[in-house]
Amino acid sequence: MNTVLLNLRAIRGRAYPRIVGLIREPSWIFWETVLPLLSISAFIYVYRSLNAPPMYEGFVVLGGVMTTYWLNVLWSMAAQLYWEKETANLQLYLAAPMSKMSILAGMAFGAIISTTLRATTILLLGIFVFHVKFVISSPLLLLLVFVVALLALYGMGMLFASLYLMWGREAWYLNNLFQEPVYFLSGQYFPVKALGTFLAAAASIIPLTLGLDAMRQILFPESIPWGFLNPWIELGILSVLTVIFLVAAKYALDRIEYLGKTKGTLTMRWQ
Amino acid sequence: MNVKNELKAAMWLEFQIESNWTSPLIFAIYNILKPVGAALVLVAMFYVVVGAWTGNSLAFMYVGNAFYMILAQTLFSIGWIVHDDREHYSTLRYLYISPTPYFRYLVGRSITRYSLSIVPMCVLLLLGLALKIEYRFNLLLLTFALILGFVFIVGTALLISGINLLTARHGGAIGEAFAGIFYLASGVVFPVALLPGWAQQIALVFPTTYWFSIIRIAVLGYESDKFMGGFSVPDLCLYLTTLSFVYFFLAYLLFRFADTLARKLGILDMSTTY
Repeated sequence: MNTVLLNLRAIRGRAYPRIVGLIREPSWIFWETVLPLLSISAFIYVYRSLNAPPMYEGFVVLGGVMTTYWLNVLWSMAAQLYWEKETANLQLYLAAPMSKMSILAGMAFGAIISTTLRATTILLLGIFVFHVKFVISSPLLLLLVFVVALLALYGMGMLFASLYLMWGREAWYLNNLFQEPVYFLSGQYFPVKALGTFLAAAASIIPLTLGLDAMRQILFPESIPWGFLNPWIELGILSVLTVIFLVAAKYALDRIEYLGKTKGTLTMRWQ
Repeated sequence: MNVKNELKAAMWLEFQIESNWTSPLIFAIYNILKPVGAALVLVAMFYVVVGAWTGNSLAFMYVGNAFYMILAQTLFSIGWIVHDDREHYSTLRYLYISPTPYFRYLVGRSITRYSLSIVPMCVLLLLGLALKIEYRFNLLLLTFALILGFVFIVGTALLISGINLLTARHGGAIGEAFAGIFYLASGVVFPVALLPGWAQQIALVFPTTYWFSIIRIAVLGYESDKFMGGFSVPDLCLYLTTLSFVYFFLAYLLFRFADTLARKLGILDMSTTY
């Protein structure tokens, strides 16, 4: 079979359960949509309790939208190969003839579609319940930043998927650790510039940081003084991060395959 | 085996599962970093609006958040136990046929999780000194609140475990959902007075609402939430005690019901290939 066709089929095959799973297990939508809504509502009330200008409530909604992608990257990408190992699917993946990158790409594609549903719910809640007003100053730039930020995020998830597989049980704990501290470092609900130049620059390795900062400036022009960098520059850096993460993911995937063959323990459970 | 030993074994198991994946030092850092991260988000939010690192509103949300971490971490962790035992470790059937009742085993594991969550809370209170939060501790009231907190938090954890016996793959999500409802409706990081009237009435049904109010009085010496400020300390204690035991009793009944139903349906050790 043509290699390109084979890999495209692998991508479709791995994306399929994630998209169809939405319909087969609708209760997931409830849990995974309601959960972020609760904390987002609470953070909006925090800003209200401080008498903050309305744009801050918009920051929370925007942060909430991007949080769903971040959580998805952690739990449905980064930890996925480890879980596949625990459920004995990993050996099937390794034995299959396509590139392992196609598996990860399929996971990412399916995950983006299912997560967008949840993200849209949060956005609608922000607009209709909390009356957040978005002023899109540059639709093209917004679209570019959003897409490239997602590519970088899921590229990072693909890299983590291989690393977590190597690290074993620590993966679960790392995922827990990569939530609240990352929310803080990436300026999930507040402008990252508040952290100071050094910390904000260091946190820029997380694609969420620059993606959020750029989108905040585009959607809330009055927040430009709080912007860390010019959105175009942030878009450039995000593009570089995307390439780096994807190349690193490929390298890490080859590495675990090599380790799996030489050590013979890759698909053993509870490692 | 007597009850004490059974609880001790379950507590030790929980500690091992939580901590033996790494060195004690890394575990200690891990146990603290997550709550500190959550607290720093609130501090940063306060800073970008107020332009200062200190203030009464900050003290309100900081203390509420520090104690919320006990509740959130316990519920999140306990939410996974049934799922882990049933599908990850595949040990649920063996636990059920062992002499220790599963209910008691869950309580034992909850005790450890609750205790482990108190450590980061103490660290957060210490870090609060850097934010010039003025503590006026009432240790007696604080001890009372922590004991009652254990009762309703473990009660809620049992309820979550009961739901998990009947459902697939929602372990963590259910725990987080309960914690999220309490976070929003119990005046953890903002006053209950800000909620719409109907939500305030709902808040009064949760023991957490009284718990956080008592916590603030026990730690800060005052309650700045106008809505909860209408309750006297004895009233708060009475409501917290009553609701905590009602929650625990109802959760116990629901757990028993779920347990019976799971056995009857033959899904006690089902595998959902998660």
